[in-house]
Amino acid sequence: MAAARTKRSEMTDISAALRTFASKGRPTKEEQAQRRQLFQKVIQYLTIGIDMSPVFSDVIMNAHTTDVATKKMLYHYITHYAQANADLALLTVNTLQKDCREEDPVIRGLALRSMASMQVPDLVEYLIDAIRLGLKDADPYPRKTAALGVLKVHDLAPEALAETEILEEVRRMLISDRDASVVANCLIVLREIDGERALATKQNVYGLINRIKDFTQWSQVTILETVALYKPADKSETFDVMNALEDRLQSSNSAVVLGTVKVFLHATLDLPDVHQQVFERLKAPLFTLANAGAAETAYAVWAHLHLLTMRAPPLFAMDYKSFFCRGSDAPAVKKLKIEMLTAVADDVNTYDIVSELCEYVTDVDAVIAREGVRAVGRIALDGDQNVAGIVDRLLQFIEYNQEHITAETLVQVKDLVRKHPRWIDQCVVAVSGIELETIVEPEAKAALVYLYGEFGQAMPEAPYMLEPLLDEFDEEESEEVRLELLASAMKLFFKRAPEMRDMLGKALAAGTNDANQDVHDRALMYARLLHQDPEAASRVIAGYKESVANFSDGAGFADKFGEQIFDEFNSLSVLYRKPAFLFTDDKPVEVPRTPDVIEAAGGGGGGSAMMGDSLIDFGDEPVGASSSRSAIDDLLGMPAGGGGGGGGGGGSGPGSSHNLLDLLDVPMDSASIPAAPPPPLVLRPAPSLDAATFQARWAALPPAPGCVSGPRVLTLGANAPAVLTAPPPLMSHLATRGFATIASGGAPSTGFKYYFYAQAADGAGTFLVEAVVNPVARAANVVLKTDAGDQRGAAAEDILAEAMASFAA
Amino acid sequence: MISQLFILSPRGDVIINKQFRLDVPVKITTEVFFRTVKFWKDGDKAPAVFSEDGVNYVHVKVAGLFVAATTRKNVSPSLVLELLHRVAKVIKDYCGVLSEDALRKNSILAYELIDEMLDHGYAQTTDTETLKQRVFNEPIHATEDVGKSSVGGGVTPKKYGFFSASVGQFGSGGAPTSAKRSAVNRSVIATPQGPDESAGGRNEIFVDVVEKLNVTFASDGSQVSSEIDGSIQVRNFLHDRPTIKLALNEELAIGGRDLGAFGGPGRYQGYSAGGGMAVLLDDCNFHESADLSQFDVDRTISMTPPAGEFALMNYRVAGEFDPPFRLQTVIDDGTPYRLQVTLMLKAEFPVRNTCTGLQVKFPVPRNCVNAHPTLEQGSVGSGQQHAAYTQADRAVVWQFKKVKGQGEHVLTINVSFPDEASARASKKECGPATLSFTIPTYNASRLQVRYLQIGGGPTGGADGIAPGGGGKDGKGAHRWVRYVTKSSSYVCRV
Repeated sequence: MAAARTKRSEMTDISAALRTFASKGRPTKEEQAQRRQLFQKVIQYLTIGIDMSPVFSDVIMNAHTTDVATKKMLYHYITHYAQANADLALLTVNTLQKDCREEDPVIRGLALRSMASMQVPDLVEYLIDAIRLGLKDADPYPRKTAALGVLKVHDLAPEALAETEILEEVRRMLISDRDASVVANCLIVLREIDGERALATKQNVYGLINRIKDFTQWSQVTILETVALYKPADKSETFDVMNALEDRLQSSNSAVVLGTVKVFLHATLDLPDVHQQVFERLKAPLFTLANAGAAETAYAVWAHLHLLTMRAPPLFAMDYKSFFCRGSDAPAVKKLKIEMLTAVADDVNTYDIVSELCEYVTDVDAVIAREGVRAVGRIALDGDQNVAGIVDRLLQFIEYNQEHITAETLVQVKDLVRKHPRWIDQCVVAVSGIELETIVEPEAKAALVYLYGEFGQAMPEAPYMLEPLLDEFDEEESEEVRLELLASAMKLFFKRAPEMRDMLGKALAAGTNDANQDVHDRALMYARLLHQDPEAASRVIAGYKESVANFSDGAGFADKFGEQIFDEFNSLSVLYRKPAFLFTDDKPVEVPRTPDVIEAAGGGGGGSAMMGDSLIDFGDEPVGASSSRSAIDDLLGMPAGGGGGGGGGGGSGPGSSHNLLDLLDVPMDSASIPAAPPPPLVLRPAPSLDAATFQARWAALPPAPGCVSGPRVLTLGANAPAVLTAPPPLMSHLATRGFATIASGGAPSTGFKYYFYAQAADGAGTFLVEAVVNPVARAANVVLKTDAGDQRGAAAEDILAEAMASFAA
Repeated sequence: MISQLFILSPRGDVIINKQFRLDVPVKITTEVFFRTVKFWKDGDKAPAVFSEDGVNYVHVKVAGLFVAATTRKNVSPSLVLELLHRVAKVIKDYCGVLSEDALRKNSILAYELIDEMLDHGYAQTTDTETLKQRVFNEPIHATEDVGKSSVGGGVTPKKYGFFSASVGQFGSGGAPTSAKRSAVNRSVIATPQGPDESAGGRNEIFVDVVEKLNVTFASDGSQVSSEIDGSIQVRNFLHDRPTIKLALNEELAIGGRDLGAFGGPGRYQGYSAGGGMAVLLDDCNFHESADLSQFDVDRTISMTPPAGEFALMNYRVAGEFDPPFRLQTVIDDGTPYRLQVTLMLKAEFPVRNTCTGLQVKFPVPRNCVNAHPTLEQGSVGSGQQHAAYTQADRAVVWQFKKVKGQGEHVLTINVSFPDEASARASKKECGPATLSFTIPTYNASRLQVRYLQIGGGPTGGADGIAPGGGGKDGKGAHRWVRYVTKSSSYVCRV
């Protein structure tokens, strides 16, 4: 109470003092200083959250002050409370209007800015008048303030603004105003009101580029954003734009440099050779920015370098040393660097990179240590290089005897043997020394259990390692581990039945009583499977497994939106690794490919083998969960033995989403679901296939429906004869549609021959294309072959036909 | 653009909170921000940019303060980060020092500055000189003595005696602290309009060539990676906005600048590091006000420097260079239960230079019982060296007050283990050693400021060196050019 009274009495004091000052016609210098102090006090209270609105009217009474510092504080106060006190705010109009005609341009600008910032609808009428006046001001300061005021009016009352000629005036000023700060604000306003793309006209872009040095670095970024949206008509115009902006790359402001980089990258997308040259050119300035300056800005630059490196790893292969971690790097930067090191590893630098990564494994920061292990594992996994040395290094990590390192190594080893069976022996030997009870982390534990189950024949002690865990099945907290235990017990049972029989029995019994639905269902299904037909169970559980060609790990998410994130270069998207529509209200530019559960289900038998995979993968799923997924895959391969919760129709192949949904207890009576149209074919943006596979498949696969009776003739765009003077333009164009080139050749006179390939985004289907292109006749004779069936083959043909037709159109 | 800008104290108190747009709940964002930063997952440091409830938070940390912005738009993070740093820098330029205390005392001034620097969330003028015409509040000094020492004018920076404005005039010893501090803590506003020094700020300019070394040595002493991140830092308190001209080594080759224009023949050409004396920079960038029209001709940069502090040029040298220190490690596992580690340190820089505050940190295996460092003979009790093992860090820290150029020092560490096997097994857990140091009047890249000319006059070069201080030209302006090399990441693997 006492405090409240003090507060109230202080408010009364302030109020009284304000009135006293207001009544003084011509305050002395001393009184001016006192008033200034009083206002400082008011603003300070306001800042720390004390409600100063009770003195609003007293403050306004001082509005006629001639002391600029006081005036500023007064306006600060008014703008702060104007919305809540709209009626009182109207009382300030006279003063504001008067100040808008004040002799001093700083006061004119201040009054205008304050009036516009109040966001009081009743003031709009006055505000529009003031802005009209301000836009014609002789001094640039009120002019630029008026320009931004237009945006504020637009936010407040767009209709009122639309009725005036003001926007036209701003459009005119964008081109003709002599002051750069005014032009910059006009640009800002119009970008928000007319849309960013609408501003990227040739006239605007040229006008802005030509005087870009007159602008502040902040405005330069806005200009560069606008230029990035402009599409130069031809190669020479592209070069003109780039040469005009080239010196922006030596700015010490990272936003300016990244803005310039964005222009260069986007302008050269259709010019592969220049595009590559741009990569070379932008490296040096980006590395400088990434290493100089504040940690925060450096981090943002590294994130962009990461994006570029992931986009074209070979172009950064020579720069691998720049990605070596420094003691002074923030953990987030170290993580980015380690990922980049993994990506750029090639025949030449892998040895150095792996040696460096091994040093990180002993890092005191466990997160970095694990990243190091993971990176070595990834290189071993992806590498076609001399992997032997790398696998040795990876397995040596186990000897470090550090819990977190061993755990991470196990996860990597599990993936490694699934992809490269030739390392099984070596890995099994290394892993069999690990004592299971020392491993605590579920993911690592599941990996080790998986290895016991999968390679139990080579590990004499495997059943006895699993025994304590199976005995205490109920006490295992992680369902990931419990699922893996069931699968491994099953697998091992078919290899070493006498030792495993009792254990498996107990495990299945415990599993069927498990509170977790997944564990329960799996145990039940194993039990039924064994009961129904042990032979079949053996084929399903212990059958031959294809090695995994490609893991779709967490990075798959970024891949999906890779193009879109690249399109949004120099924005938050790059740091979040998400396209903007996922974290802002902005509408997506293109409809993203979503993991359509409904589509997959509706597709029924047509569902793809990988559909279940992508379903699970969507989102940031940890890599190791693939083990449980693999187990699901194993399970789903079974010929479904009707009855119980598992009873659905026959799935088409292992891992069919149809069956997955069965497992997840989704009611799936195939009769009750109307036949939905098949999912549209979407091609993967960056397919991968090696030449040998291409050849083998080309020989083996049947042609798609449209080319059964010989090549199908497709038409190219009207400008094809002019544009297509060498193979690359068509290649880069088709790449945007998902068709990558594996070989090309020929001359303009004879026509060009290409071999393209594409892959369905959901993994179900590879498409191979032979195309003989006659640029002069604008004709492409194509043969398309696929393993995805006629329906998808025809869909792929359609995509290809559209792609050819839109080339040089 | 941004919807809000706020500055929080290290404890999360709101000191500045300015709203630009109505699309974020400005009252709670400050709390959400602080909570998120404080309790970032896994105990990691929160990244500079994160999203919470659809609001994007972008922040920088300056002098313990959080300078942050919120937005709902997909902005350029670099733009916002650079802008926040610039806002902090301008406030610092005005207040003389940026601290919680200074900001609280000057919050009104800070608001006034922010109002001029940002409108409706878009960056406007951030140039100190232009701001001076539009900002009317005066700074209040945060602490009494700082203000006095800076405006005193009578304080002669004697310790600056060995820094000169021309090339090659190295002094020896001593640390230039007092003059530097007063320069740092000075407000740009304190500079009076006339040349009258006694009334306020001295008419002077500081040019610091600061190089940060990033070197990683392999166990055999070869350089796994080596890079210099250099910067020419200017603190400008010159009166009447004169132009300045700064000349660098004539034999200066810069990688990125010799690349041809797009569409042209392109690629690197010309410059090589031949002759042994040429300084090769891999890349550099410049402050926006730098006039580079003569740079490719004679390596001079002209500019009308903005008041206050700024980086005139940043540069990067990625090749190998002569490292100032080498550290050799020998680990003897001949005795059971024990590892004997010998660290041999050699200062490779010239005798005339002295390194201040060298610290060598050497991690020892986690499972060791104890580590006992022994200093070399003769240094014990001299107060020049100190070495100790700290259990918490699992590391031995070896410190020096000063290390003279060409000096050699040895430290022996006995690491003891609970059992025989673990000693040998833990060998690879030793190290790597990390060095941190500062070497004044030395720069690893050999980049030099040939001369610094103030105003249009023909001064510069060797003339105009006032006794007892830096160069002083006809108009009474003091120039201080100084070199310093620091460790950024200096790692010697075992």
